[in-house]
Amino acid sequence: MDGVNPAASGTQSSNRDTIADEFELHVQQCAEQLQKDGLSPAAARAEAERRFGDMTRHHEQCRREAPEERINAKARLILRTAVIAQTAAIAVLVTLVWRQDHSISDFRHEVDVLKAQTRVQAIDSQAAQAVQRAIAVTPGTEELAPVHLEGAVPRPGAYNLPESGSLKLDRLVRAAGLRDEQVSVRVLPSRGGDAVVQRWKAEGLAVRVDGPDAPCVEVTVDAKGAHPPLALHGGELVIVLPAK
Amino acid sequence: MRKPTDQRPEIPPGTLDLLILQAVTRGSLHGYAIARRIKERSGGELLVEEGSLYPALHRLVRLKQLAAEWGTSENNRRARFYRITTAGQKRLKADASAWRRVSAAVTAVLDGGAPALEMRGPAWTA
Repeated sequence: MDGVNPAASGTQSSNRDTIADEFELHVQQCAEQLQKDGLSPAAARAEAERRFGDMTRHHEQCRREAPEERINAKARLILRTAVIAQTAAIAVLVTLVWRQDHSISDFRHEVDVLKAQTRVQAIDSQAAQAVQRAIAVTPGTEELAPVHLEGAVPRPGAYNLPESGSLKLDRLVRAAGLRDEQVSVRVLPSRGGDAVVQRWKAEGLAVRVDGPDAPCVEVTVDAKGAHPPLALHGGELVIVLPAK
Repeated sequence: MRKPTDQRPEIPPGTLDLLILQAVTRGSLHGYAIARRIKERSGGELLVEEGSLYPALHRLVRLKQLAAEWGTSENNRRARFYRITTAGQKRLKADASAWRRVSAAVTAVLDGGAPALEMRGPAWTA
């Protein structure tokens, strides 16, 4: 039988890790059973994933049920004020922009963008906290490494990505001292709904540098094609936010 | 997702929690094992969809009717095991009793002519 007495592992995993690990185990076990039924390993894995269905949706449902994710409604109401969010967002943006030595015009433009976003979205308490802890990833210049990462991260700095091929952005974020579950991604200037990534998935988000002659960071926000790839050029920001 | 051609009966609304609680009465199980146990015990008739199973497990933990802890699966993988709590046992007992009464009543109606069973206590809630 499948039940085994649990051996206390003492793992202090986040809720996000917990759910993802549960799902992965389920898919693995299902795939093993399908292999025993005669499918090839690849076919069994694919079939197991198909049967499992939309992991993202299941994940959200679990998050809603999980006690860690329940938010006091009163606190949410209080902290949901656009004033708080806007103030926090602008303060962080000021820091980010000055650190990145942006021009005043770029700064004003991005402040305006962020102001508009905060007005429209009325960023809630979690988002406000997220903005306060935001980090920025920018394409580098000839003087800098291909990608410069700074902000409220343990290890800000310049990171050399390969000149060709791909490198998962999660590796970059880990290099900065963050964990995957701590971040989500938002792209500025806004490119519409597709550019706003609410949640981070390591397998769905990659950074690619095309080459020394055309330095460009491409962020593929959804490996399944639900979102188009985003090409980032100098002066554009990817703000990596702690996930909700 | 269930295929349109799948003729297995849907799990009646409100009974998934009951099935899960019953599945873990004899010991801790992880999610996949719970789904398999329900399938096996129902003779393959009841398939618990993952989209319902895991939210239900997390809900039952929130309600303190299940307790969860990490351990090692039979394949030596990290797995989250669920066990029933005292509160879960109380709910299982109450819900199972209610379900049996409702089930018997429905069966009696379907069989035709049998006097309806008197409902006592709280009705089963879908």
